[in-house]
Amino acid sequence: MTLALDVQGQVGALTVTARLTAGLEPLVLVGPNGAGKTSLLLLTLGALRPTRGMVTLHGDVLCDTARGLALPIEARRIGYVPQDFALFPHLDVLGNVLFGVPRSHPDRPLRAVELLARFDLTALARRRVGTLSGGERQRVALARALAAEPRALLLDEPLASLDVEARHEVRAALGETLRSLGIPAVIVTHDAQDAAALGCALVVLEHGQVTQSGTFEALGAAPATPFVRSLVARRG
Amino acid sequence: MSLLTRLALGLAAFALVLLILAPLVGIVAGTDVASLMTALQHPLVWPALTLSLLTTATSLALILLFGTPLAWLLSQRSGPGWRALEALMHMPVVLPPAVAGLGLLLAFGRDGWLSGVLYPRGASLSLTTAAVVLAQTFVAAPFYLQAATEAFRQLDPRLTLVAQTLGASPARRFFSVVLPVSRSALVGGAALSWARALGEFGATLIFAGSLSGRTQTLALAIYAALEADVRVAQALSLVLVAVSLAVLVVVRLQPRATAGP
Repeated sequence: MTLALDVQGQVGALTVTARLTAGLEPLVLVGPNGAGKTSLLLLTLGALRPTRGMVTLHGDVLCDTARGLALPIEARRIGYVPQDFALFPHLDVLGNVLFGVPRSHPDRPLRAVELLARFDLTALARRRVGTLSGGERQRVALARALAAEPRALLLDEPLASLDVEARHEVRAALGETLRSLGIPAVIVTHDAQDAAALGCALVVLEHGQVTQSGTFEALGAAPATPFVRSLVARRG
Repeated sequence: MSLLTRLALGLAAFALVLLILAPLVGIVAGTDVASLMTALQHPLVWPALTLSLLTTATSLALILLFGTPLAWLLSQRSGPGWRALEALMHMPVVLPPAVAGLGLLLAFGRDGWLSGVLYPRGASLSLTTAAVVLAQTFVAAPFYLQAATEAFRQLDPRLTLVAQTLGASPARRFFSVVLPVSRSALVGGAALSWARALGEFGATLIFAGSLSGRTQTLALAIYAALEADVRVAQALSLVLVAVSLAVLVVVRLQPRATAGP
């Protein structure tokens, strides 16, 4: 069960190059703002076309520039939780989750209700998403992404829009949830403490390049760049 | 601010307020319910009212049907050709109505350049109800087009991207995400378009004429009524004022942005 990337992409003036593999342990992609973290997620999803390289999921090729192959986004079955969650503002909580349940599913409402219960959203089912707290919105976004039964999950700054107090709680819960899914998960963050709490595997991206990867301890033992040094120091 | 400045400012502002409200007061004042009811029974009124409702409903349907896909295309493309096309699509707003009427005549009339292309040479749309619909569509479409293009442009692209990762087809993304999220702006634009179509006068008069029951809409009936009985013209105007006011309320009540949570 792995998501493997070996891609290069051009986003404006920035060239993003990365080679990484995410297994069942959540992989944390960390780096300063503008390092190309979100772009790397978009390259994986297929929303950006790599200039060269390959993306495979559980051995299936999703994209291979050498063969001119690129599976459309909707066929990749990769769940995506964008920054600020991009919940559908015209739907309530149940509607958002239901949107993700495949139309071929034998009992769509039941599946949605199960997901609501799993993420402790049952009481909020009929609430408009605009009235939810940051933590609640994050859970809706996760439930919606999982409703489609994805084979991998990408999360972009899932903790950035939460206040400090909620963050502590949600951080631990999110890490646990992601470990329990049984699919590869990649989480983008610029925050050292989030990175430390969420995963043991870290990949540091700077100026579009992977500068170091490994556990926090390994990074701390021999920081390769000033950013990594400050990242380890900020962990506290 | 000195007293004199404040006085001058107040007077200037009041002048325009007076200019805009005075005609409305003129139409509303001096009409009582009884004379309004009598005036509305004039033979000019009913055919014009039904014709206006029929033609504006048709032109609005055409504008929504063809304008929505065009607005989507315009919002998603950014080349200079598309920019130029978008600007051209707004021409009817600034074009004098008489010029619009003449243009329609020279395109769709008996000797129009499309005669023999769209329909047999010698046939003509002018002086038919279809001509009324065409004139209304021509002058009113830009209002909806502009509102819809702008709404689609402001749509958070991540909404459709997320829908796509959830396996949604292009049609489902458009009908279940794009349209409902842009709904308020689309309703506002449609209301403005409809109001413009309802008030259409110049282009209709030149291209479709003013034949009772066939091409004589409310706006044209007011003009015709002025020669017969000014109270009938006033009653018809009152109907249009009420409708315009309702449209204004609808447009004003729509939230301005298509903001997410």
